[in-house]
Amino acid sequence: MKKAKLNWIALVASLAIITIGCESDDPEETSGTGGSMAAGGTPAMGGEPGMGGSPAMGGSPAECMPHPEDYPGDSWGDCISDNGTYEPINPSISSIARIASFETIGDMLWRKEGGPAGADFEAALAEYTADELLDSRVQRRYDSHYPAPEDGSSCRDPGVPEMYPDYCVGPAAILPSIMTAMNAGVAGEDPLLNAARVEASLLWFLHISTFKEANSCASKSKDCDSTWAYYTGGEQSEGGLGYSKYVRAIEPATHQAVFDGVLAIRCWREVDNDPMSSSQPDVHQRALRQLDTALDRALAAVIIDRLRTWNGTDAAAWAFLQVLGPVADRAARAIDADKADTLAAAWASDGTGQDAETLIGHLNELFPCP
Amino acid sequence: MSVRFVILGMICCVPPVYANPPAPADADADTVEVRARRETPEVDESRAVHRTTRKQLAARQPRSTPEALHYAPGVYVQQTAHGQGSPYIRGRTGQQTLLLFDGLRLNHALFRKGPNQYLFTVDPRTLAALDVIRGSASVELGNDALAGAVILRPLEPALDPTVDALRLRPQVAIRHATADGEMGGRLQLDAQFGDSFGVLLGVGARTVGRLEAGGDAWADGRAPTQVCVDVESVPCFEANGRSQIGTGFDEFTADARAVAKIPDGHLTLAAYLYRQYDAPRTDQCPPPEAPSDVCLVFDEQFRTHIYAKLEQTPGLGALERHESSVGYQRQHQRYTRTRPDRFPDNPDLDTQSQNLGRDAVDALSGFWKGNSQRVDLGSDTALEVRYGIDGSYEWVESQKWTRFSQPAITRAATRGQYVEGSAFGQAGAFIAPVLEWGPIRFRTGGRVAYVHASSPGEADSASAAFERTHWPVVFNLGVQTTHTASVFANIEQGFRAPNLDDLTGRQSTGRGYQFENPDLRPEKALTIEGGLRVRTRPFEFELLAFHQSLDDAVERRLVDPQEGCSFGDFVDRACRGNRAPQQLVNLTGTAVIYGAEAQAKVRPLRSLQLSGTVSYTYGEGDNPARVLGQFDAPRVPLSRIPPLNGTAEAKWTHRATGAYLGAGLRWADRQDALSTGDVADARIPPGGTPGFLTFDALAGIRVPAQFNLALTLTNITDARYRTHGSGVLGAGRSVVASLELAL
Repeated sequence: MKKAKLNWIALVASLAIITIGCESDDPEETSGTGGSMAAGGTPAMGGEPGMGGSPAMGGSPAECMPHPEDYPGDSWGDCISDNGTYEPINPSISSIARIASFETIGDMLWRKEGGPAGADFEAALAEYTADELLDSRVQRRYDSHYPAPEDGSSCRDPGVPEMYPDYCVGPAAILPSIMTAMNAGVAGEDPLLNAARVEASLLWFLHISTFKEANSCASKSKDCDSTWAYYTGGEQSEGGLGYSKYVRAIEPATHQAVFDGVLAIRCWREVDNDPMSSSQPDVHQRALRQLDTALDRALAAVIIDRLRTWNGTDAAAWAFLQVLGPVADRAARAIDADKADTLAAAWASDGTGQDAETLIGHLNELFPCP
Repeated sequence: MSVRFVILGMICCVPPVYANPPAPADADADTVEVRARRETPEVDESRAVHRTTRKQLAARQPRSTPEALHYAPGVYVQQTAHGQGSPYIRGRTGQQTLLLFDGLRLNHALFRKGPNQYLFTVDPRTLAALDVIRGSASVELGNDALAGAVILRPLEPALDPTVDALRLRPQVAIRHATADGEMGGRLQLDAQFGDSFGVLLGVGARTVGRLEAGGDAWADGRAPTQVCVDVESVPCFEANGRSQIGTGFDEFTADARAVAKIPDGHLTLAAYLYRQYDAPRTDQCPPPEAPSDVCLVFDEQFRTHIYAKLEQTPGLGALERHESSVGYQRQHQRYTRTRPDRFPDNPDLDTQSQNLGRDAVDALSGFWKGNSQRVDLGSDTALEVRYGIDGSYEWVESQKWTRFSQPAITRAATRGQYVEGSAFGQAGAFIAPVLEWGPIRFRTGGRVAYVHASSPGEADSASAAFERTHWPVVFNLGVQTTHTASVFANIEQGFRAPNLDDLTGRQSTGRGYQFENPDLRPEKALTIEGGLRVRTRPFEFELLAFHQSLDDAVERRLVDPQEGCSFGDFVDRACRGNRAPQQLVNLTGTAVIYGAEAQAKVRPLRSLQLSGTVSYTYGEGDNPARVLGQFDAPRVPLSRIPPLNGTAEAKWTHRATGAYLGAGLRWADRQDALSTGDVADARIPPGGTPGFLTFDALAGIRVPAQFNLALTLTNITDARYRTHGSGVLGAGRSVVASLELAL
């Protein structure tokens, strides 16, 4: 009898375990917003490219002579790009959605009338981190200007971005820049400044991505489409979203030069049409050089434009410059280390004592032509 | 939740021995632990049916119910994740195959396109047998039985008519597998109260670690931090090159089954609980190209099934026997996709974000079916008629959230993966007469069905409100000879009405994003099969060929993200940002699946059994791609059609002691016939899935109802392989040890 009782006790105990299998509760909605309005007066209008006035040039990009190997030019044969429009390789181009997301975030933050509130940053954070949108690519973005780790390490692996911060620029530098600004914005801290930091960080991402995709197109032809998409948002030269919208508004000739660089990449990919590899790497390199040069000038133009907006007073514009200004350092240092040092020191400062025209002059001398 | 303490508790709390000594039993019988009552076959015996018995399960020690079907002809088991498994029957799976548990539908309205995890939610230790019906079977089984069905027959409590007092038969089972460190067990109590009431109670639990594959992922070298062989491939690996990231889970099960004898029959009340925790989806841990610590985990995968069943044999002319059942089932899942903090050493910045979701579907279902007596019509002619009605009604809950660690925000999405409040109902009636005329057996049948799906819609996401009603009507026809060597031919129709996953689901798939199509039409299949069947005592053989045509077959179509991801003014950004946005569409034209299956079993000695199977399937349909420049062929292979594959087994049994030795092999040819969706699926390597050959060895002692010690050495050659479409590689060389002990 005693055994029988034990038996039942064991059974009851076992069945009681079943109660463990209850469904857990749903998460409760919470908000982290710390401010309801932008503080600090009127918005800086930092998100309106071209507000800085006409380009200050050592010479106007419109007057620059194209490189003899640039597309379109005599060194190129007939190709798919010759009508001046980009013809997608694959009609399904997911990168276009990320540029649309950039524009959405722009409406929420740096173009927000009256300046963004904490809730706007919260919405922008949700947009930024949505599946397959900007965060998913920032987290993996590498800069093709730097050599990949020789041991095969990938930027997707833990610890690698810290070991290779220049190459793994997305997770190592752009991501913390965006997230730090978003966090502060949600908390209501310096909304205009943080909106400008997000804007600059995302432009940094678009600038890096345009060149990276042009490189990786050698092994994945659809990446050529992403080159076009990251620069234009999927539009032709007369239009443009995202990065191209800035460049076109500031320096139309530079915009056309970048677009020509994108067309050069497409032209090469048509001629060298193995979708998985490149049999004409020299042509690819010519197209890359053309695109890279144009992108350097495009970046400089955006920085110059924002320097004009700053003009010694606009804190949001300076916050923007502190993020995007150093992005030009690699290219600048390769041309003139002294000027690069001057610029780097300026971006590292809080702007006090800096002269916009001096900095603009350096940039024009470093990157005179696209 | 860890279940280690539950397992420990169970082992410590083994009920004391308190049972009458079990009667000696025939070690060779297929089902001996329990007293099986008469079964009503779900479909006619002339169909292509294969049974996996309890005895085979005890020897093979499958890790899951899907794995229990490894040796069934025409069945190919795919695993997206370690804690999932989905049988392909004649090239189709998931929505297009029907799962029945004790006659009640396991299929529910959220079964998604392609393989799913739901058969895994059946504890194989609760099963007496698994039957697989290959080919359409909608006349007698209804909706979803498009390509076949898996019929799960649960263990029954003993009802020994010679026992008139309380009899308790406790049993404990423990199991360990070295490939994934599985440690688990089950406590079972078979209690008989007098001669007319029996109860079978069971609780089980296991904790399963990361699964080791065969071979070495880093045979060509590895960077110090590397976890994925390349950015495109899944799965990824630990530093040992074998343990697969995104595998392992915890599991808890409980079941209770009470059977009472009533006049002319039995009444059964049953409840089955399945609770799976922390089961990562292997191909999403990490997804291709994403940071390598990103992971989608099913925190909870629960199934609760409660039902009552009545079986009676009134012995009337028009009603020789009938059975009916009514039940409630709830399938619940909660999942989290975590993008971890990429700066764990930075106390001021935490970039972790999570996408969370919860889906549940509740279902009421039931059936009544019966058969007439076999009526002698004279002149060596007899008639028997089967008939029945069945139906179900389901309703859906679904929500999604996004959670950030810093700032601490949780935001609810306007809709979940499905549209909350959507409902799905179906009903049907069938009749299936069988006429025997001398050595020839004719059969036919028909079903009229009703399917209704509705959704209230969701305005913010432009999810359409709709009401859809379908009235499928299907027929069948068959003929066979009843000789020892018989020939047979069957014509069977099947149908599958679009469910709520098809009509309302917006979700990430293998490597794409699938959104709903509320305008889908039901799929309709026509299976024609014929073959030769030989059944003698020492030799059994079956060879058949089949051809299935599918009208309005549902496949994924890649869409232009700029147009296809817009719903009125609403743009689905996750869709537009995905490299492979897809929509389910009805294919134009007629898709076809055809193939052949062979199985043979030989007993050259009474103690030695040799068996083998070979299956071939090919399927193609009109190309659904609208925007894929490089895949513009007018006809393309259907998704994830299994390759040519087969099995072989040899088993020697010492009948006096119950000791046995055995060996098995499974093989598959390379599969490079890929659909457009397959090409974009990271679970399928570029160019196709390589073939494989694996060997297993078995040894054990089995004394039915007393003792079963089973040792299985799996994948002896440590082959590195995956079944076509799987996100997880097969287990490497490993041992599975199991002990079942009646107390």
